[in-house]
Amino acid sequence: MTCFPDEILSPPDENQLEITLFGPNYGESLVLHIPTIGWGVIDCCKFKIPGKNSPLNLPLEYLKGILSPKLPKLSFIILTHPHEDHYNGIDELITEYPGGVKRVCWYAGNGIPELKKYIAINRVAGKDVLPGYVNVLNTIEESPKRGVQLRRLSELTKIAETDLSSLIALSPSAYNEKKYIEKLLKSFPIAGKKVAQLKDNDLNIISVALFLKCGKFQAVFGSDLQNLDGPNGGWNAIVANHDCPELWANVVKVAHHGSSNGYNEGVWKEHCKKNKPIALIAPFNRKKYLPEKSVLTLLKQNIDEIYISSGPTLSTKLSKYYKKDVVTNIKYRTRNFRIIEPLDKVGFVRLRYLTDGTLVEKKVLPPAIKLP
Amino acid sequence: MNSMFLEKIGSSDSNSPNFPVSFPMTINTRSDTQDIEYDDTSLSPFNLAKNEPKIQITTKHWETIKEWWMGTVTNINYDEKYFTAHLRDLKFVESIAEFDFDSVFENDNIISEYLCEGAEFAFFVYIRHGYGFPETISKIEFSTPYIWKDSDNEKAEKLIKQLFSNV
Repeated sequence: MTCFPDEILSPPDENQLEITLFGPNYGESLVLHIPTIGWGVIDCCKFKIPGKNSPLNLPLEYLKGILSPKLPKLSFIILTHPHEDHYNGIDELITEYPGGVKRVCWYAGNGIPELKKYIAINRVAGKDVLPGYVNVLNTIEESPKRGVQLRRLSELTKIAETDLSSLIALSPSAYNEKKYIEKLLKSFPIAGKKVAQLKDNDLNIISVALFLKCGKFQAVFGSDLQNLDGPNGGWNAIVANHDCPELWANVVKVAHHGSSNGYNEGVWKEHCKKNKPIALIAPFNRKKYLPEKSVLTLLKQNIDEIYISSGPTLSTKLSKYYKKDVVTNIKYRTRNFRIIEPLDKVGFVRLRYLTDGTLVEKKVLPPAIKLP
Repeated sequence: MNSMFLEKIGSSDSNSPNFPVSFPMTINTRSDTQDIEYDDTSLSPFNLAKNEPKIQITTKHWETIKEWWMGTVTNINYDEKYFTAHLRDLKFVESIAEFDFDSVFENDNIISEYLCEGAEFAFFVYIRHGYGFPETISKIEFSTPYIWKDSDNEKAEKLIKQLFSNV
């Protein structure tokens, strides 16, 4: 029994490629089946069903549902960057997936000691930055004890490769790694000064974007990679890299939930060079709402199909939650106040292809939707 | 002690839950209005003969919280002078709110001292009781930034070893 309907839990054929995107309001995870490589997961997220106590680990639930009873070893688990909406539950996935894991890959090892120090400094200052990440780091670093191979990712690192298929990291560039460590070091306080936190975007600098090739099929998974100043940073570094493969794609997981700083015109020109890719977006419904309308407008100029793993759930119906005099005060005090309506169920977008690039299945489980 | 502004909107509700005002984190507070309570006895016929009502400045009033959110600043727009925050109430209902600087801070000095991405604050709507009250009020109080001490370096180093298995 999983949180997904039984009738959609049939596995793909051995020679079929599968890309399934989960993104319940807050959180993003991709489950992949790559012919000749096997099953793998990029990032992890959880979802709390109303009325149930513990949140469900979505890729774990899905894999158990679709592959039981004979769960194969996962070929890879990838952590793209240290943001809660991408790492939440990845420790659980590593330790609790019944079939075991061959390889755990994570963003470049540079900056890990600095990040540990950053977490400790903030704990001393009474602030739990990156909740749950201590356990994630410990689980990943201890995973070789379970027979798991650890691999650090940076530009053009191979994750898995066969004659038919290959999965490689496109980032972070050396420049991004340097910038990321600079941000961490700069955040370390000196005596007499206040303890400051990193900005959310600072942690995206280290993001691992990924490129998948399988026969005549190609996909790019943008993680939360953003544009960074100059030709050596962010998406520009990927476009400028002479060794980078051609980035035309059948499927693109839109970078950084469809934010304007994750959108790079040059990269999208590359994606659309051969055909119009299908775009997948996991929304971000926490600190602000993503995708941005301006980005959707730009995407629609180039592509026909955009799928989002859950619809917008921001509501201005304050009276549903608060009494009249409280609503009056909220409206008086704020210039804008929107409730993040909780989802009552979780959906996904699933695409299955043959290795010649033919789309054979397109499954959109609500609240996932195709954008009009 | 520092104030984060106080706003009033007159309305009353006698059915509100009776939560004590307390804070789970260190928050410096001060009301920017003086609390003036008229002493009832001073208005009695006996005292009227003394020609002037007695006015006392006192802190005698009490507050009952109607709603309470913990907020984290997520974005600051200095050009348009507002900030965006993620809020969570006691029932875990989450919201995204935008606050104008001038609806929260009294002056620019306070902005530079308290406002930064990741800064935490409490936003609450409460009823203020007392003579001439009740009225419903909202208030925002930012947590005091932690000032790093030399001795904290050692604590942080120890903590790294405690938290992480691979240092």
